[in-house]
Formats: sequence, structure tokens, C-alpha cells
Amino acid sequence: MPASWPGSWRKFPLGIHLLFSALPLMFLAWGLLGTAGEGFHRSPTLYPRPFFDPEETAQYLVDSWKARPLPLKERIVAVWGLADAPEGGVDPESPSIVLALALARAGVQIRVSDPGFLEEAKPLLGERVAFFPDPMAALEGAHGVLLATEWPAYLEVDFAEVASRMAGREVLDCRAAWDGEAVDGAGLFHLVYAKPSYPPWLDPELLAFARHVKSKVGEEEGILMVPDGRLGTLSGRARWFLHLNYLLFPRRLYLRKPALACGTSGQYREWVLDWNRERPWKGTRRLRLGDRALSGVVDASPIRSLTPDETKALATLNADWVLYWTHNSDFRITDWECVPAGALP
Amino acid sequence: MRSRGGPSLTLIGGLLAVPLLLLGGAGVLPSAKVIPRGLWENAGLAWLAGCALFAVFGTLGLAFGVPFPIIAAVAVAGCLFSGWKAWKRGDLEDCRRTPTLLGRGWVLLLAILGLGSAALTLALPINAFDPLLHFAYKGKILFHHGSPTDQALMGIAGDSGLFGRMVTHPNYPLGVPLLEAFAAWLGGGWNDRWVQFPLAFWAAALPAVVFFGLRHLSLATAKVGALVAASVPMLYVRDFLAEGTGGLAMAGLGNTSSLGGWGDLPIAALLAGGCGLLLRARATPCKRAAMVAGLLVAGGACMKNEGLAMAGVFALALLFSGALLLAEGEAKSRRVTWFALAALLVGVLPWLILRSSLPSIDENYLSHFQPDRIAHFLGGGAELVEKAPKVMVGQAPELLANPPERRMLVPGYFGEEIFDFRSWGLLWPLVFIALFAPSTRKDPNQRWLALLVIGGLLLYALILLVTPWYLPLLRDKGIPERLMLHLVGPASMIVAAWWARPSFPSSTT
Repeated sequence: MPASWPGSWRKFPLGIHLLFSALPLMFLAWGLLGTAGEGFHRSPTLYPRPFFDPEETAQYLVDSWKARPLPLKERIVAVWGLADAPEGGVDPESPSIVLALALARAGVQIRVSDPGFLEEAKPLLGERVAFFPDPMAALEGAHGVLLATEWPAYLEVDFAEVASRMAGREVLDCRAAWDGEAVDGAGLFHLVYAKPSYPPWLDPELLAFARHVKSKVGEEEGILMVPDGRLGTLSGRARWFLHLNYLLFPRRLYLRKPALACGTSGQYREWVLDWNRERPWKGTRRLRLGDRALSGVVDASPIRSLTPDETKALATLNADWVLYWTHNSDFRITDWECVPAGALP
Repeated sequence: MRSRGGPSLTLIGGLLAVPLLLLGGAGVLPSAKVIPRGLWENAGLAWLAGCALFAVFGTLGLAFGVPFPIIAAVAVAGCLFSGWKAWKRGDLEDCRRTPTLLGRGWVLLLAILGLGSAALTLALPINAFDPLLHFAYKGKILFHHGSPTDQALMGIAGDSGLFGRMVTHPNYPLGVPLLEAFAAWLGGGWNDRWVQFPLAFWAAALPAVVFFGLRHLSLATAKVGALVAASVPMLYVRDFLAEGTGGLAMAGLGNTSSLGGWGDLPIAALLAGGCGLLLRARATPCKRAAMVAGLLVAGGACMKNEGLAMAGVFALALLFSGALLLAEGEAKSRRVTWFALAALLVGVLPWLILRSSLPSIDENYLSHFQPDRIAHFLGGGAELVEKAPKVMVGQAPELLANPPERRMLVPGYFGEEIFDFRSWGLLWPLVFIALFAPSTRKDPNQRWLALLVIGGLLLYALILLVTPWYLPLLRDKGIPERLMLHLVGPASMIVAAWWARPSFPSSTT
């Protein structure tokens, strides 16, 4: 017995260790089932539902609206969806209820609509907001529409009609659920306030824009990437140039100081701070080159005149196109424009 | 090269790459009559040897300016010839007759884990930052332009110094991109899903080569080693369910998976294969097995920068354990070990040559290994809080005012990992128990495995000590556990040998 004892006690920790094989087994099983549910395609729907912080969002919106000419009290916003989720319920903690109340308290005129829980929401929202059974009616004369619950009916909406009914052009998407290409195509600003859990290379607007560039730019051609001005965020998610570089390969994409921009996240931040400190865009002016190629928002183009360094780079790098962008952590088609170098004055 | 292949052709390309690499490795391995092994072990070893050879010789070709399509064509011919050689000498029949004595339940567990990991790798197209941008992008460069010296990679410096091409980690090894480009070349087109075929079997092969490496001790030891290795969760995923069952929805997504186009699992599998082959080469003894062992470890150096560090530790462990010099082992065992070392050194040379011509923007640790830098941090130098994201944007002034000592952070991180059962099971506590067992110290083979594991941990601790980045941020990104993953093979072998042989003899037979 004493001789076999050491061998026996060793079995115990080994057995415990083998039990941990349950973790990879679960991981593999759930991973395969999850991807099978989406037809084995990488897509944002594989990831948890995008969410938003209602108080933070309300504060951000109010602050940005305060900086605009239109007084807060005259601003009308339609909030679509009050339920926690499609077929979910409403309660005082529901994000859309909290958001609608916060905006209303700030003085914004709020019109709410929900296909399933409008009556239940009335006691929660009181008389601070106006209730609209018809969501399209809520848009008449509104300055913006805010999607708080992604009811299927809201996702199939015709944005041309939305644009025709609204006085403003802000489409505030708190669930990252609306088709950004369709929103932009109607001349509206698609502003996503959801915190997406899917990675940046799956962003639908990024992929739509990459398809657009591929259709215009030959594989042998070169593209000079040019920010339109100050870089507005340090967010790593805003490194859309890396993903475009991958998606558009073998097209040649060029960037200013790429060694910093493509380095670690710390180097990328240095690249942003350097750009904003050096202000290389200083002295350039905004340009209008007629209709935009993809975006329907004609008056928000990022195109500007080139600096002497950029003009020189176009020639030395044999680049045929200039890809302008406004630096944002959310990829918006509105922010991007690819123009032939020859079309620039 | 133009893309011609549609989805079905690219699938065929990926499907072809696996058996070709397997055949390529099969003929290079010593005959199954000389070093007996079962079919499962043979498949794992042959596939790893094929991948390592393709990575080493592909890198050699690229270093000397051979265009990738020629490398791929020569590889196909070489793989077919090698497979024919293995078939002619009757390896398959010999392997079929060699018992493994694994019970049905264990076979089922290993099969589900191995095949499941391959299936999950291919379930989605490449879907993580590092695999896409650090590796697949370079694979596209090789596939489309045939050379890493193309402007797409070299042009990051920019001719004018101001504008240039974009590429992340330009001086990363090209083993993973070579394998992806091989699958793309065979299929005539790049497909983000099917180029992963040659990367789908690392987790399946690792337990097989651990089994192979321990077979000469006893089948029971080999079984324990394989099961210990296969049960390490980190082989597939790290920190799974750390956030509770909500993490189930993210299984296979995010950057916690080890599977697919990352560079860490290939290093782990190739190092395990190298260790297994060298153990058997020394026990037989067999020069060919030793040389292939060296090439496998060299193949690891072609997969990710840390592979080069690991190759160095492998060589040093052999040296300091006495496996090369001391008279306690058989003379023939010592002699074959020199062949392994020679093959390793020759195998890493192509990468060192090619690396010297690639631009470096962020991964150049050699320049940070300066005595004064090491002494600074060992002497209580502060963490580089100025590199912290919040500090860079003017937040967290308390961090800037009171930065922690880095020397306290590094052992803390490793300590946390040793007891992170969700990622490692009981692997590391068992390794540390085994390391202190007399049997491990007495046997030269166990001693070099132990030195390899300890040396690997120490080297990675040193790397983290001198890293020019904000250490807590690296920790958030899964370092040091991604580094410790490289050592799963030798760690499992140490545990199995300790478990099965409490009074380990000093002989290697």
C-alpha cells in the first residue's frame, strides 16, 4: 500500500485537470452552433446585440444640440421603439424610456412611437412626451428620428419617405440596426450611438464602401488616403484605413507617416496627436466636385484641396485616386469619398 | 498573380494543401520501423513536419528572391516525392500495426477536441485583428506579388519618408502567410475562409506529438501526456466563461480564441513536435529524427517573433542540461542531439537573413535587451504610464503621479496565470510540482525539458520587463498567457513523466 500511494494521489490532480477539458468542449460546441446559426458567415448578427447607455447618450446629444443654431426647445425628435427589445416589455428602467425622459427634461420636444407597448409606456412617460401610434406621423416636421428598439417594421422603413417627412436630417441609431447605406442614400446622416460588440472589419458601411471603391478603382491603381482635417478621435476603432488596406488589396493605398499609424495602439495615438499638433491640412480649402459617387449627403463631403506634400506624393507614388475621410470611430459612408486625382483642381 | 479561383476552387486549394503538407512531412520523418509510432502520431508529426519544412524552405526561397509561385510549385513536387518515399518504405503499414492502447472514451475525447478545433477554425472566414492584418495581409502580398520585398510591405518607410504603404508588424515571420498563400495558390484565388485549412490542425496535432514523444517511456505515460495537453483549455481558448455563461454567445468570436490564423498555437505545436522527436531521437538514437526535430523548432521561429526566442531557449536548454556534453547519457544520444542543434541553427538562418531586410516599426525586442534597461526595471524602474491610453489623452493624472514598479507587475501577471484554472486547468501547478521532483532532475531528458520550460518563462518575463509599451495594456490583450501557450507541449511531457514514473531512472531507454 505505501508503495502504491504516491501513484494513487497523483491520479487526483490529473483527474481534476482532465475535467477542465469540459471547457474546450463547451467552447467548440457553442462556437460551432453559434456560427451555424448564421450560416457560417461572419456578420454583426453573430455578436451580442449592440447596446447604448441612455443617460450618456442623452447628455451627448443635448450637448451637441446646444452648440447648434436651433434652440433645444424648438428641436423635435421622434423616438421609435420603447420596449427593451422587440417583443420585450417596458418599465421605468427601459433604456428608451430613460433616454426619452432625459431628452424631454432637457427641453427637447419628444414624440414616441412603439408598435406593441405604447399604452404601457404612457404612465411611465406622462405628459412630457407626445404619443404617436403611427411612427411615420411622428416624423412630420421632426429634426431627427432616434431608433431605440429594433422592431422589424422599423428596419424595413423607406428612408426616402423618412427624409421627405422630416424637417431635419439626423437619423440617430442606438441599436446599430439600420442599413447605413440606405439611410445615407436618402441624404440623411446616419449617426450610430450604439456600442457595437462586432469588430470593425464587419461594419456594414465599411464593407459597402469597400465594394464601391473596388468597382471604381482598378487593382493596379494607387490611392492616396487624406484626412479632411483634424482627427476627432483617438479611438482605435477609427483605424479604418487598416481594414480598407486589407479589403482593397492589391490596390496600393498610401498614408502619411504609416509607420506610426500602423504601429501599436500607443503609436497610433501618437500619430493622431502628431497630426493634430502639426496641422498639415492648414491652408487647404473645402472643395465641391459635383455629385458624390456613393454618399447621398451632398453637402458634407470630406474633399479638400491638397497640401504641397500631398500633391507631390500623388506624383511620386504614382497614385491615381485620392481617398478623403473624416476621422470617426463609427464608419459612416458620408465621411468617405474617393475621387480621381485628375478631377482635383 | 491574378485571382482566378471561385469559392469552390479555393475550397479545393485549401483541401489539397493539407494532404500535400502531410505527404511532405511523411517522407522526411524517419522510417516507422526505426522509430515506431501509431497512425495518429504519424499524421500529427508528418503534418507538423510538412508545415515546418514549407515555412523554413519557403522563407529560404523568399530570402534569396525566389518568387512564391516557384516555391509553391517546387513544394508540390517535393511533397509528392516525399509521400511516395514514405509509402514505398511501408510506413503506413508499420504505423497501423503499432498499438496506442487508448481506450475508446479517450479516443473519442481526443477526436472531438481535435476535429472540433479544426471545424471551428474553418467555421468562419478569418475574423480577428492579428490573423487578418498581421498574417493574412502578408499572405495576400505573397500570393499576389510573389515576394515580401514588394512595395506593399517594404513601402511602409515611404520613398519620400512621409507617405508610404500600410502594413502592421512588417518584420513578423512569414510562416503563417506562406501556408495561407500556398492554399490560395493551389486554389487559384484568395479566400479568407479556405486559406485557413493549413492552419486548422495545430490543436489536433499537439497531443499526438506529445504521445509520440513519450511512447518510449510507456504507453501509459504517453497517454497521460496526450490527455494533459489536449485538456489544456488555452490550446483552444483563454478565459472562457470569465464573464459567466454570457460568454457562451461569444464562443469562437473575439480575440480569446487560440485557433486559426494566430501565430502562437503553431509555435506551441511545432515546439511540442520538436521536443517529441528529439526525445525519441535520443532514445533510439536516430540522426534523421534529431534533424527533423531541429527543423520543427526552426519552423516555430518562422511563425511568430517569439518562435525565434523559443528556438534560442531550446538550444540553451540542451546546452545547460548536459544533454549535449555531459557523459551521463549514452554517447550516441549526445551525438544525435548535436544534429538537432545544427538543423535548428541552419533552419532559422533563412528567417534571420530575410528579417534583416524587412522594415521594423514596433517589434524589435533585441534593441531593448540592453543591460542598463534591464537593470533599470529590475532596480525598481516605473511602469511606462506615459504610454497608457488614458494618460496620453490627459486623463488619469494619479497614474502619472504614482506609477507602479514594473518589476512587481511581471511576476504578478505570471503568478495569476499559473492559478488561472479557466485557461490552463491544473497544468502549471502540476508542472511546478513535477519540476521539483527528483526524477525530473536526474534524467537528462527531463532536465532539458524542465530547463526549456523554466527558460521560456524567464525569457518571456524578461521580454515583458523591457517592453517599450504600457504593460497593463499588453496584459489586457492576453499576454503573458499567449506566450505561456508555447510551452504546453514540453510542460505536458514533464507532467506525464513525473506522473507515470515516480522513480525515474537516469537511462533514456
